[in-house]
Parts: sequence; structure tokens; C-alpha cells
Amino acid sequence: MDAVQIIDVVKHYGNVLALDHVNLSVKEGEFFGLLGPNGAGKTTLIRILTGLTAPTSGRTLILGYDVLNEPVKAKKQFGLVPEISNVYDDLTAWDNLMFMAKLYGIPEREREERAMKLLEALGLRERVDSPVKQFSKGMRRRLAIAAALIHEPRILFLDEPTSGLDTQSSRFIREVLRELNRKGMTIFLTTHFIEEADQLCKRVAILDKGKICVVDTPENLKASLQEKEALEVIFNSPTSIDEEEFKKHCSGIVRLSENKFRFYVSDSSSILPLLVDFAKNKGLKILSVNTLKPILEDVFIKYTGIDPLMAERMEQLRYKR
Amino acid sequence: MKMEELYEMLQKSSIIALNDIKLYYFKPPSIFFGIMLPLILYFAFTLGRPCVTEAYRLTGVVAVSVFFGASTLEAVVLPMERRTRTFERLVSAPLSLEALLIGKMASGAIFGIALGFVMATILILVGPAWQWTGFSAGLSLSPIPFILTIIISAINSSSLGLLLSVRAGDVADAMMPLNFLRFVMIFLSGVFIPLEETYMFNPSLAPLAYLLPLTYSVDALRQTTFGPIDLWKLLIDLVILIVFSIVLIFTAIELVKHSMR
Ligand SMILES: Nc1ncnc2c1ncn2[C@@H]1O[C@H](COP(=O)(O)OP(=O)(O)OP(=O)(O)O)[C@@H](O)[C@H]1O
Ligand SMILES: [Mg+2]
Repeated sequence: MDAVQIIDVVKHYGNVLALDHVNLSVKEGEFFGLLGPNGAGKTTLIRILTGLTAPTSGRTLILGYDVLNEPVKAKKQFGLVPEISNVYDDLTAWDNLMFMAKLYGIPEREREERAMKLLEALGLRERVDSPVKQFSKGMRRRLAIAAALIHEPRILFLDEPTSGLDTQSSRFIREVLRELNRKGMTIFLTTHFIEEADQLCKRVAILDKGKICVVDTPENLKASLQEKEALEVIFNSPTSIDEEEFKKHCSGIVRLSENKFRFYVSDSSSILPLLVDFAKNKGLKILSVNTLKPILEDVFIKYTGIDPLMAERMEQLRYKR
Repeated sequence: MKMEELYEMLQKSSIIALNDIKLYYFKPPSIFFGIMLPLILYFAFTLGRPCVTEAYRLTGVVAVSVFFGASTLEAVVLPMERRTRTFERLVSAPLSLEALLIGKMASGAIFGIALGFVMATILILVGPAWQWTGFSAGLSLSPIPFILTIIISAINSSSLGLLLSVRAGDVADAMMPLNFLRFVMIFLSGVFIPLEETYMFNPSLAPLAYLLPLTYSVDALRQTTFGPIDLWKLLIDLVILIVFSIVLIFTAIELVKHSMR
């Protein structure tokens, strides 16, 4: 049986079409990623899957239970870590977990054992009795994860689990998720960090403007690119490039910043002389040239088109590696 | 619905209600709008209108305390939980929307009941006996009907608060319509001014009073504390309050369902 089944889901918010005939299924035990730019509809899809929002049309099944018709049964099967960590500020970490455990009907003894284990595993052991008010963003996120796991669900939904967290916290959370998946839990997360999807997910779907563009393993997606390489060039001062000039040798040019460009090419050696000429003609110096192997980001760009702001952010990401 | 399902639903509702009690009873708006405001009103009416009996005024304060307390708590809890998104945590947990909202309603009702009993004890039972509120009226308490009246009135007020707050994004959004309704009710439901006087110059408006639930609460409370009891009238008061509550709660549930579309 599929862990998650999304059948022809459409969601309108007034005139906004947030999801456009989405079909998707996720197998039990899979680590699945939903990748998309801001406003793509990722949160909307997670909200529909978890019964927080009703779709305009279409159905969603969680381990075979229809979320609309059998909400209580469906909700027992999953845990949800939302975009904004919605734990109770005025309760301690411990009381937050106890409250959730009671709502899920977990007997008292077990409640305490599980809570202790989870707080330990998520590095909150020392802060058991602190009110959540005093928690940092990363700690709140970790507590939200613990709260989503207290009933030992078979599926875990996470909406941008690492956004807004520092590298160390993010890495810690990714490790926790990997471990959960290793033990058999189905994980369904949304992210706009391409790297995250690439590192973690067995399969990713790229969602753009409410439509699923493609679903496959990161490896297959990368292999599907025609352009086997990309060339990144930095000039010493701002310039613009006429795409026509390079048309023969590259399939696309992306301006990453005023003086930084990326050329998608099948063979980088053929374009280099052209670049040298170009620089000479314009009186520019080439500061650096880098060849890059395709990464998931390139697939993302191929399907979603590019927006310079986005490119810049991805740029920073690539830099970190 | 099967027995076990009903039991499970009530159990979940009580978990929700207990959590609210722990978290929201001592929030400043709960205390101000629930406890201070009825007292302020009492003194305002004591100074301004000495023409009704003390017994009349004191039952009015008790009724208003129950009403304000119960409805205020809803107007604090629901918008706060919407803002912090903890409400969504509850919606994504395995309990029906009915169980969730009945739990929310219950925490408000319990707040109203507690306030009602405290106020009644001080103002009606103890105060007059010690002549501390300035009079010794012939108290003729009917304990069981009195307790029932407080409970049903609190459920009714809480349901009203629930309905008005269930879509509000912050506490002020919920308090505004609620405060408006409160003042309408205080003046038009015979709380501090008898109905005959309220509508003296405009008898055609008198039916208005019968659309406001507080009218029935106040009447029932007067009958069960200072008497005399007219059993049929009391029964009708309580039945109307219960019907009102059911309609309010189900409308609130529909509103939440609608907001998820
Ligand atoms: N409650 C709402 N009312 C109206 N429109 C909404 C609502 N929620 C989302 N939308 C719209 O639906 C679209 C999808 O939004 P959604 O939040 O699902 O995107 P997202 O992929 O999660 O974006 P982000 O990466 O910024 O979190 C957007 O155009 C958004 O404006
Ligand atoms: Mg989102």
C-alpha cells in the first residue's frame, strides 16, 4: 500500500490556483522530497495531506485512509512538523510532549518513556523543564519534531524543516531524519534547498506554480540533463552578454550577478576561445572560470526557469560546499 | 454514534479543556474582561440607579460574571491559538472537530461557572447574611436549580464566545463584536434595569429581549436565588438556553469547516 496517495488534487484560493491537478504517490519507507520555489504550493499540499485545508477537488489517502472522509484514522498515521514551530510557549518542553501524548491516547507510563527518549535523541534533555518561551528557533523546531514523533507515526510530514536554521542545527535535523527513515519511517518533506533534497531524498518531485513538473530520483534527474556541464565565468567588471553570440555553443546563459555568468554547454572546450574573444573585445578581464558538473539545481532551473534572486541565493549555497 | 466513540470524544474534549485552563485562566484579558468588568458595572449601576432592589442588582452581577467570564475566555483562547498556530496542532491531531470545539467551549464554561459560584457566594449567600452589601433580603435558594442555571448559562455564554471568536485572528478582533453584544445585552436583557422599565417608552421593542440569551439566564438566576420559582417558566428558560447553545456550537463548527475550504 502507498503511504501517501494524492489523486488529482486541485486547490483554489479565490482566484489563485495554488495546486493544479496534482497526482503523486509515495511508497512506505520512502524518503520523499517536494522541491519548489516560493509560492509553488508546497505548504498548501502538506496542509491538504494533513487535513488542515480541504482541496477544492481531488482526494488524498494516508495509508489508504481518505483524509476527508476518515480524518481521525488518517491523522493517527502521521506526525506533522509545520513551517512555523507551533509548540505551546507557556508550557515546558516536557508538558508539550505530555499534552500531545494524551491527545494521541498514549498510556501514562509509555508517554514518559517515549518523551524521555525523544528529548534525549533531539538534544533537549537538559531543557526538559524550561518553558518553550526561552527556546531558540532551532530548539523549538527540534521540540516540534519530538512532538510529531510522540505517537510513533508511520509517516512524518515536514514543511521546510531546516529553513531559518544555522548549518549545525540543519545538519543535526537531517541526521535525525535519516535515522528515522533508516528505521522504516516514511518521510515526506518540502524544501527549497536543493542540496537538502539531493542529499536526503530517494525521490524528489519538482513543484512549480501548483504543477508537478517531474518526479524521479535525484540521480536520474541529473542524468536527464542534456547539458553535461556548466561553465561559470567571473569578469572583472559588470557587463552584459548577448545570448545570440554564443548560441551555437551553449544552450543557455544565466546571469548570476552583474559580472558573473553561467553557461550551459555540452562541451566546455569549444566555448572557451569565444569567451576570451568576448572579453578582449569588451576590454574585460576574466577573473575566473569554473566548470561544474550538473547538480540537482540545474534540473530545478530547467523546470522552473530562473529568477536572478533565486540564482544568487543558490549561489551562496554552492559556495558553502 | 457508539458509546465508546462518545466516551473517546469526551475524553479528548476534556484534555483540550484542561490544557486551556492551565494556559489561559490567568492571562490578563481573561482577568480583566472576566472578573474586573462585571464588578465595575455593578458599582456603576449601584451609584447610578438606586431604584431597583439590591437583590435584583446582585443577581444581575452574578449573571453578568458568568456571561463575561465564559465568553471572554473563548475570545482569549481561540485567537491566541490561531495566532501561535497551536490551533492547527490540535486540528491535525486525531480528534474530531466536534471534540475539539466542545473542549474549547468547556474551558470557557468552567471559567464562567467558577466565577459565577465565587460571585454568588460572596454577593448573594454571604454578603446579605452579614448585611455587608447593605441589605438582608429574604434569600430563598433552590440549590439544585441554582447550580443547573449557572452551568447552563455558562455553557450558553461560552458557546456564544466560541462562535464570535472562532475565526478571529487576534484577541482584539474577537473582543470587539463580543463587547458590543455584551453592552447590548446588559441594557436590553433586564440585568440591572427591569424589562418593564427598559421598554417603557418603546414597548414594541420588548420582543428584542427575548432574542437575547442573557434575558433567560438572569430570569432563571433570580427565580432560583431570591424566588419565587415558577417551575414552568424556569424550565422554559433553561430549555431555551440549551437550544441556543446547541445552535451556537454547531454554527461555530460549520464556520471552522468553512474556513478550511
Ligand atoms: N490562506 C491562503 N489564502 C490565499 N492564498 C493562499 C493561502 N495560502 C497560500 N496561498 C497562495 O497559494 C500559493 C501557494 O502557496 P504556498 O504557501 O503553498 O507556497 P509554498 O510553496 O509553501 O511557498 P514558500 O516556499 O514561500 O513556503 C501562493 O500563491 C499563495 O499566495
Ligand atoms: Mg511554504
